[in-house]
Amino acid sequence: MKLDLKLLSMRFSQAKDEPPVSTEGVNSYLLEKILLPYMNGESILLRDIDYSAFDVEDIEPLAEYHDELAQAGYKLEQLTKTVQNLPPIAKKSRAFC
Amino acid sequence: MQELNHTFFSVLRLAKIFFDSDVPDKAKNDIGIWELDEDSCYALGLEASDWIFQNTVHYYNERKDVDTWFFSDPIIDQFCRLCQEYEQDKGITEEENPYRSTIEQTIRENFHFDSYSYGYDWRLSLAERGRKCILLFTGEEFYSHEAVPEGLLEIRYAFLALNQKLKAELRKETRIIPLSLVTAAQWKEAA
Repeated sequence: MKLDLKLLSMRFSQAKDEPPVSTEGVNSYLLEKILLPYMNGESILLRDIDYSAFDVEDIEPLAEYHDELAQAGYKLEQLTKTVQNLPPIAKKSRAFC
Repeated sequence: MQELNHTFFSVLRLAKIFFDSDVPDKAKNDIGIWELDEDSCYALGLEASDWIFQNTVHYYNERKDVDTWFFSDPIIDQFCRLCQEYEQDKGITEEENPYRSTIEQTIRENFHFDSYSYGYDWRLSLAERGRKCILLFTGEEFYSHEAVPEGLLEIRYAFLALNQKLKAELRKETRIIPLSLVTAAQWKEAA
């Protein structure tokens, strides 16, 4: 397999600077104060949660957001693995003086 | 970033329902020191189930590998008492009492879990001895412990609402009967 590094780097620079998964419809309290801190290894006591900041119905969209985020993370991991596993090949002609 | 198991969201849902409910503050304080943790799903479900009805007893039958839960509470006792009064007033049987069928249906609907290894029953009839209660039997392969507190809370709310309705209906009955008697007496006197 051959990888066009120039094209890859162009695609990266063209990509919009935005979250990998849309947070639309996700309760911001649950996202910022619960899910992301927990995923980053913070511990949260049940008594410290502000239960008035969300409804039971907000939990399902949060779970869906998490699944999409995990899926995006999986795809990125696959790409890094592919790049990692490519053996470097020397250029046939000298590219510098 | 750590990828989460779906039980994390079940724990969050359970906590939300529990902390929004009218369970005693002591229950909220005790449960409050638990961490939001995907691994605590089973244990938290068991712990929270203990707090929904005032008198909850839990037995484990080692030989049959079955857990038996007895849920009793003054609101269940009151429901049975009010039902009895209502049946006497209306001259109907327990089977004809719409309040009994409503609570039975509520129990069926809320003891509906994503596991096959469980059963339930109730002792709400006057004919049955012992304290009135709801029973839940869970086997070795019951995996829905986190859903039990929510079901119990719904049943509890149904008892509270039906008790209010029964009280109101019985009040209405007692208000109408004396009035009609007075009117009849007055008519007699007038005649």
